[in-house]
Parts: sequence; structure tokens; C-alpha cells
Amino acid sequence: MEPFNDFISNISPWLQGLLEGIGLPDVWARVVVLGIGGFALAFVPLIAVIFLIWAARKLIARMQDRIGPNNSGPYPGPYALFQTFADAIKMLTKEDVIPAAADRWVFNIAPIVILTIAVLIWAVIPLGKDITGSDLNIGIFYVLALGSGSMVSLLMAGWGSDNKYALLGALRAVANMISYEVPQILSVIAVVMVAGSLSMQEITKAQNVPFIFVMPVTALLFFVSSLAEAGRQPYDLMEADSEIVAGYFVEYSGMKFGQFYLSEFMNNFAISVITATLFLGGWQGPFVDSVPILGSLWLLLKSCLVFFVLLWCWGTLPRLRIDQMLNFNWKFLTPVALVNVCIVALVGKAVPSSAGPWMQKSALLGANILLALAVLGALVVAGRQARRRDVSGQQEASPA
Amino acid sequence: MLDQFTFIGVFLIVALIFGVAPIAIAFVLRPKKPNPRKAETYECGLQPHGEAWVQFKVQYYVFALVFVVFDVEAVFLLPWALAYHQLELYAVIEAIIFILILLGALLYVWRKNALKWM
Amino acid sequence: MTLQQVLFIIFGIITLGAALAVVTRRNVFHAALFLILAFFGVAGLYVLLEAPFLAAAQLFIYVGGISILIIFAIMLTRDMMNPNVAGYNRQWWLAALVAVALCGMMGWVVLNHNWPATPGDVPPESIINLGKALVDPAGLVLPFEVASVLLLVALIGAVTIARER
Repeated sequence: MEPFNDFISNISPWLQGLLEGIGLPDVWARVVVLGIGGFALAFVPLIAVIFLIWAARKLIARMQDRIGPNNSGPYPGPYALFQTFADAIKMLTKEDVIPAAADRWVFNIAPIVILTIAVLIWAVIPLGKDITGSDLNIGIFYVLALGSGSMVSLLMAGWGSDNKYALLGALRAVANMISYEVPQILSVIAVVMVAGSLSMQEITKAQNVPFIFVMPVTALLFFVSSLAEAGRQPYDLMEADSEIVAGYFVEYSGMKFGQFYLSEFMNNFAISVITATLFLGGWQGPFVDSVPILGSLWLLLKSCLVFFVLLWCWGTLPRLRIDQMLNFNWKFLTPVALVNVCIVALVGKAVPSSAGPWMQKSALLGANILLALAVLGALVVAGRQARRRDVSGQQEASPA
Repeated sequence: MLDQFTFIGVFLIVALIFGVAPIAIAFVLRPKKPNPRKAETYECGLQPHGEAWVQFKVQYYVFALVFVVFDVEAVFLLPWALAYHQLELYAVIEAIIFILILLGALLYVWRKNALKWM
Repeated sequence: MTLQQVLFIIFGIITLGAALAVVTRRNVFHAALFLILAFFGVAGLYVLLEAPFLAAAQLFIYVGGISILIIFAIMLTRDMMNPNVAGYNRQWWLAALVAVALCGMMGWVVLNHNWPATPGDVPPESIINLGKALVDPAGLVLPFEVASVLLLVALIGAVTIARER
């Protein structure tokens, strides 16, 4: 049982020994082992997304009081579990229609770039106790930097389509995404302050108490801004299935559209996993020390919980307009995020470390709750003022 | 430190293969019947009207500018946040002054109505 | 040739090739995309120099912010891609002279300098040292605060220019 516990960590030296035994030089054996590891890692989000798309369709259907994909024959499997495979085969065999005046190179490269970046994010996410692609010392910053890289492919898709609606949709989507990066990185800064490192394995290990109980406001900020980054309801403006057809990828058909769709779900799952790692404790849980593979199970459960909350928002909340989204970000989320960083910094230093970790964590929790109450109070006052202005405006308009 | 990035380099190539593979498979499998009617731009079924490059509003640029300023601020704050555990109180006060100056900048932009999306 | 040297040559070729394409392309949007490729190349060079934080900051600020700003500016400018506008003007010989002089001067400085044979070791906690230096009174705290004032001034300037009159 012992070697099986650490099965995944032991495979890599064994494979390397095997390859060196056949006579490959040292560097090439390492590259081959890393390549096999990379392929295995890249399949994780792929397989997970295939079942998550099915789960998303079933759950959204239930929230909308219908059944969703059903067992309509022997092909899609029981409960239509393999519906996504059927969708993939359909997309592979559709014709690829390119608009006549489209910019060929830019049009074709955009889906490749977006799927590459969606897969690259998974290199630093700790999937288990010692299982991670590469424990970079700039872990979470690498993820955020790649997120901003994916905006370039949006612009390429919008521009290359030679369609003024696609271009407009792409510009609005990019304006939306860059705005919501600011509260996202500010909440990550608060997490980094408490955890003391950017590396995601270190952040997971620093969470004896999951950070959501220490800094709930930060967790909420991160989750809301990541929702907007991924373009999920209620920030569905980029896609807006029922209104602008598909926004920036309206001219894509066949597998290129499939790649946009796939990368969007991969990003959603990546956000769930990252939120679970940063705020819910990642792979930590009971019995992880003795059976390391259990860490992956805990991470899977936690990220499915976060994904369920994401789907819940998708099925329940209405879509926001672009000016409402930008107002919400710049006039509410960014000031709250900045004040949150200040408060976490002050409280962390005001409570001396000699008082013990529990005192510090409860002080942080108290400060966060006070911040939330203050923000709610400010919102109530602002709402009352707005209503008074509306009422007095109506009274002026109709003097009778 | 560099061998951490060796995996990233190999993974980049793997990710590129993953990005190109579906399109390559589709290139082999799909029908190819080009038709000038199909290659027209999509405008909800109507005839496409005018050029594809219309004049855009200046608000896009202002929002991108405000974003760049806060982006740079966040990157300045990251090393400070990493060194937080080893810093004294005065260092924290200095960084809070930094944040307050930029909060003031945000309030200025807000009051000047530059954040309105016309 | 070690792997590091091969990678350095590859990243150098990517950066220089993309930079060359930026200034020679007629299509302005393509030039902007090649600029983004050049930024990626520079980030790769930072990684080779064992500064991963700088590489990620380069991607985050340049690719995620400045390139978007440049592309928005391209979209806002009317008539930027008119093919009837000439790519050269009449003083191209003067510009070529200045460019060759600058290149020659830089090359002379690089070749005549005493570069140390082996660079020092990069400490593993370089980002934390940077963080401590940024707020150290004997270190970089004045540039740190002046940077925030600079950003404030930049924002005020941008709002003043972009406001509708």
C-alpha cells in the first residue's frame, strides 16, 4: 500500500531511469518525461470539461424547470452522459465558412491562441499534495498574466471577422475584461499578504483555516471579478446568446467555434479550481497526510461546489448592461478592493504576532465583517439619496 | 529556478499541439464547398451595409487608460505584499499612502464624469 | 552550445523579427500584433535571466494593458490604413544617418566595455528583497511614492485631454 500512496510522485523518477537505461542522454530523457507529464496534465481539464458541460446543461435545465439532454437513444449514453462527445463530432464535421474579406491569418490564429492559453493556465495549479505541473514561485501571478494574454485573441477574433458587430462586441468584451482585472489582482494581493507567497502550493499549505473564513470580502471580490473575466452570467455581455448571437465569434463555424466554446468552459473550470485553491483550502482535508491521492478528491469536490455556485448565478441572475457593469466595477468593486487591501495590511500588523495565529485570523475576520457592514451602510445611504432625487425629479416634472 | 520553467516550456509545446489538433482533425474531416453566398458577412440575414470599420467612442480609450494606471499600481504592490511578513508598521503605512493617492486619483476621475459610458 | 544559449538565440530571433515586422508592415493592426509577439519574446528573455516576476509583470502590463491601449488607439483613428499614404517621406536619408550613428555608438560602447565573465548568483528570494527595498527608507521608498504621484498626474492629464468640451 505504501508505494501506491505516493504512486504519482514515484512514476517520474522510474520513467526517467527507464529511459536512461535505453541510452537516451540525460536532458532528452527529462524532456520526454516532462512531455508525457504535460500530456497527462493537459487531459485533466479536457476530460473534466466534457463532463462539466453535460452537468451544466442538466443543472441549468433543472433551474429553468425543464429536463435538459435526455436519453434519446443508445448514442448519447444513459442520461445523455456522452452528449458532449456527440457535440464534438458534430463540430468536427461541419464546414468552415470564412467571410470573403476576412483577414485569413488573424482569423485562423485566434482560436488556436485562446485554446493554448486556456490549457497553459493548468501548469501551476496544485492538483494534489505534491502533484503539480510546475510549482512556480510566481504561481498565481502567472495565471493572471496569461489571463490578460487571452484578451489579445479576442481582439484578433473580432478584427479578423470583417464584421462590424463582431468588432464592436470584441472591443466591449475587452473593455469589460480589463476593467475586472483590477479588483481581481487586488484581492490576490490581499491573499498573498496573508499567505506570504505567490506560489499556489504554498498558499494551499498556508491554509490551516480556509481563507474564506478569514477574509470573506476578499473571496467574494475575487469570485465576482473572475465571473466577469470569464464572461459568465450575469456578465454575459460578451456572448449574449439571445441578443447579439455570439458577439466576437459570430463568424466562426465548425471546430473553430468549438475551440472558443471549449476554452470558455475550460476557463470556467479553471476559475472554480483556482477559487477553491486560494480560498477553500485546495487539496487540504481529512486524511490527506496518510493517503496523498485523497487530496485530488478534496480539490475536485471543492471546485465542483464553486462551479455549482457559478451555474447557480448563471441560471438565476439577469444580464447586466455594459454601463452597469463598468459602473459596478469602477465605482464599487475597485474602491472596496483598495480599502480591503489597506485594512488587511493594517490589521495584520496591528495585532502583534505574539498573540498567536488564531487571534490574528479572527481579527482579520472581524475587520472584514466591519468592512462589509460599512459598505452595505454606504450602499443604503446612496440608494436612499438616489431615490430621493428620483422622487423630487418626478415631483418637478409633474407639478400637479 | 530555471528547471521550474523547463516544464512550462515543454507544456507550451503540448498546449500548442492541443490548440492545433482539433482544427487539424476538422480540416481533414469537414466538407469543403465554398460558395459566394456563404462567404458574405453576417448581419442578421440582411445585406451587409457599409465598411466594417466604424468610428468608435473615446470612452474605450479612457477606460483602457485608467486600467493601465491601476495595473501598474497593482504590480508595484505585489513585491510589497510578498515581503509583508518581514516588514515593520511604517512600511505598511508607506504602502497605504501609495494606495490612498491612487484612490484619490480614482475619485478624481469619478467626479470628472470620465467614467460615464455614453 | 548549452540549452540556455539555444533558447536565448531563439527568443532573440523572435523578438528582433517581430520588432522588424512592426516597423515594416503596412497593415497597422498586423503591426500591433507583431508588437505583442515582441513583448512575448522579451518575457521569454526575462525568464532566461532568472527574473520570472519581471516576465509575468511584462506580460501583465505590456500585453494586457499597453497593447490593448495601442489597439484601441488604432481603432479610434480614422483613415489609418489608407493605402494611398506613402510609407516614406522625403527626409528618409537623414533618419537613416541618425539610425546608423546611434547603432554604431551603441555597438562601440558594448564592445569596449569590461563585461564580468560570470554573472553573480541570483538569490532565491529576489522578489521579497525587492519588496523590502521598495519601502526601505534607505532604499527606494521615495521613487515608490513619486511613482504613485506620477500615476495620479498621468490620470489627471488623460482625463483633461479626453474630456468632451
